[in-house]
Amino acid sequence: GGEEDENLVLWDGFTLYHLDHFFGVFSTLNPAVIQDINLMNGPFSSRYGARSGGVLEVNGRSGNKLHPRTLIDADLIDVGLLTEGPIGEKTSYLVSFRRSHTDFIRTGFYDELLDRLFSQSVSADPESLVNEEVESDYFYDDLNIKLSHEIGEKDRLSFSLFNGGDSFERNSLYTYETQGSPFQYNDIFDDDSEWGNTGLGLTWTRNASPDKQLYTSLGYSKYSSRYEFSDTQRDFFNGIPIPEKTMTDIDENSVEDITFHHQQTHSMKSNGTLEFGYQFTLLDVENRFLENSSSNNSEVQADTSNVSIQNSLYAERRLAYGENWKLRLGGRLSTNSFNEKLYFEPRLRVDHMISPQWNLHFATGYYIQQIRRVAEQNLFLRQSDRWALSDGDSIPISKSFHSSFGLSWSSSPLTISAEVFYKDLKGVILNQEQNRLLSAFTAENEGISSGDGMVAGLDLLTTYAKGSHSAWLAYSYSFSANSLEDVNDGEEFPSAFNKPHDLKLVYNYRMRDYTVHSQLTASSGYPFTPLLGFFEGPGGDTFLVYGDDLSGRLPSQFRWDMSVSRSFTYKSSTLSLGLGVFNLTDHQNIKNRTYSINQVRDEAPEELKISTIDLELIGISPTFSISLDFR
Amino acid sequence: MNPTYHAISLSMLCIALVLSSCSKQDSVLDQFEDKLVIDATLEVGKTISDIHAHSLLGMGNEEDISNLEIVISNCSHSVVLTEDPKNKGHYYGPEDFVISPLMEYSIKTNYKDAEITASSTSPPEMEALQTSKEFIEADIQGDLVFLTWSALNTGSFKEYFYIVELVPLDEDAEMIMRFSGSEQKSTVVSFNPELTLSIDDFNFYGDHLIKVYAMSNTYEHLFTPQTNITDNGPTNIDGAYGYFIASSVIETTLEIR
Repeated sequence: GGEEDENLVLWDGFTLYHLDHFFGVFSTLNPAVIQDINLMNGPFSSRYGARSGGVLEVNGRSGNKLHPRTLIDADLIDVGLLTEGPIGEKTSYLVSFRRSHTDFIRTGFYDELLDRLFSQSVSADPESLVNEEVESDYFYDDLNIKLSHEIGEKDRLSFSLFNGGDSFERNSLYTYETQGSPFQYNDIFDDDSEWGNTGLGLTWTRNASPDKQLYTSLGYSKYSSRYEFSDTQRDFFNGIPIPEKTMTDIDENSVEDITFHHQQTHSMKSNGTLEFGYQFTLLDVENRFLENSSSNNSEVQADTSNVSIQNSLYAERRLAYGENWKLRLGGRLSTNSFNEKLYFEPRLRVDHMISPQWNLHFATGYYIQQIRRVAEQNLFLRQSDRWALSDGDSIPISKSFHSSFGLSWSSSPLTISAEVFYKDLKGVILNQEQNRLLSAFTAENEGISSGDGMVAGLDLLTTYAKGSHSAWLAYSYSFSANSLEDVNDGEEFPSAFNKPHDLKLVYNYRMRDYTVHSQLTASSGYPFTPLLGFFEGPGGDTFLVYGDDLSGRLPSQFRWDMSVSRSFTYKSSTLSLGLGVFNLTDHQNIKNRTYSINQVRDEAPEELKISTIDLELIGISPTFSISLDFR
Repeated sequence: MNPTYHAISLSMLCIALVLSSCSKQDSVLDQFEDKLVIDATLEVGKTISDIHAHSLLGMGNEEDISNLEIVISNCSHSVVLTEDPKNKGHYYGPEDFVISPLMEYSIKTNYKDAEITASSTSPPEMEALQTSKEFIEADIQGDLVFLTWSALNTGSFKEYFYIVELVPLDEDAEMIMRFSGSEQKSTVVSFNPELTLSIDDFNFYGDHLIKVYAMSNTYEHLFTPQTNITDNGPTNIDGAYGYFIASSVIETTLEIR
């Protein structure tokens, strides 16, 4: 029910700031290199800090220590190569590289994705548009490298590298000719957008003794996005060229994160364990914006760099009372160089086993977050988010108080759990320009409002696993209410990411060499701010009229994906062929909605029309995959 | 497979399919009441000739609003406007109700259970101090057009600004080609009783009616382009959008060659 940036994403000791390719369609996390994923969406342990929502901890897989292995796979979007194996007796390696072939091979699947995302991003064509030529090139890639080395029996050293990025170029030429006019207008738009995340992590774990474990990591992460746009107006009067005008915009955002983390876990003679540690984080957030116009020789420039050093100490005591009660009590003390305040974040969790089948838990905690992601206008062809450090003024530090209470029942092969949660939020931010009129760039922190909020809800989960069948059904209900003094007259409104109802059903069936996978999701649509229309002032100026912020709700979402794969094994090699269909019912799933006003250069205001721009997610799309696994 | 678990799996699938059928397309605009827009300029010394009531523009569902009971009042009189039977959504006042200078006027109507009100005080009448002088003097030199109305009682207009409206009079006037704007009339703001125009400020060649309105400085924001898209457009009408402005006006004609 909170915002996406409130979740900490850790990969082998470093933080990831961007998790998807192709504007949210694919994940940057390659499942072939993941050992395990630990998702903590409720009040989490004192071990983790810097975020006020949840934690997604991903541990990369170490290379095979026994024999080399190579995996080659391809589908209608990308190709991948994974190789792993031992280096001597104590070291292993794993290298995996994926790259989309979308800039070499234009499959129907890719074209479908592109059409859904961008075709509606262009406002309705005016009558004077006589020619339109659009070309685009897009690709993504990601690289994972992991080296693991055992030093003696107690120590283990690992190095992990992640690099994932996207690149999009779009060149378009629009030609306008108004009837009876000797003018011909040519607009040449060039969009060049790149974004991605690089991470490096060095981790040392030591089992010093049966009662003492040490963990030390040094991580570096850099997220960057760069968007360059130019509009060249190359016009003609009776066939004679008019001096060219060019407008260029450059927008850059980057985050550099250097984190050192040391943790010790001691088994206590009296009872349970004591875990404590220290974490140092240096954050450098840069925003650069440049607008250059040759028509009036104007230049607008903004260049900011904010650095914050955060030091944290934490401790957590884990105790067991009898066989049925467990207690986790801890706290985190942190300070940052930005405002030099000291923060204390207490954490508590109690688990009680009522019977071998029935368990309940209660957890609560206080969380703070300094780095925020500000959602901006969703200009197509660029990342619509910008990371920023809380300045205590226009962007406050996010503070939240979580509580959750859960009950679960488990009897193989079925598990059913229910959890109610409540979050009290301080420092909620909203960029009012988000989801409004699609226009040029906005100045940093302009339009950002802050206030308080709350999220409450219920999570239900049923899992089933037996023999060839496994399935899980999850349902979440969440209620979100934010209140910002200068938004909607202080009236409550939902978070921009709130979906009151969210249901997911996953079913897997494995039978000999066949695997069937079905995944079905149904949810409420996201909130959006409606544009109701415009009126003209007495001087003919156009004035827009909006509904209340986030008072509209996009249509409900539904998606059903199915796939079947068949494996063929020959000696130690395996060939897998897969067929699948995304969005089987071809339901129109709208990710977000913005607006544009037709602003062709010779259009009169009374002819202006507002165009609704819906960014749609994938429609019905068949896909095919092949993989070769050599051992 | 155990029949019980088989039944559970099938039930899950059925629930999901039922939920999928609930994903109807919501019409977002249905969530919001229609908004009324009133375009009303009163002119000192004239009757109320045209007050236009319509819905918001741009979403493809624009319509003129008929059958409103619009009441215009000053300190002593109230009149109910009549809708032009040939021009739906356009309302006019009685012949004997002439707008007086320096008087507060108010407009009141109801639309979809909401009360809509606004008021505006009329400026002084624009009068010539020297009877030999034209109200508006116009001089064309090359591509420039010099307008002045400083020979009027402009000393009484220190808290006012001027709107100069350039209205082409010829039906098939030749268009002046330029990069932006092809409206029939164009509007220029002036804070002094004189104005230098470029030929590009006119949209057409031929005869033009030049009207100079004097309006209170309190309405200046209604003539400023919207820069902050997070705000709704400015209006001086409570319960609706648009404008209700009492003004003084002078006019002349000019041929653009």
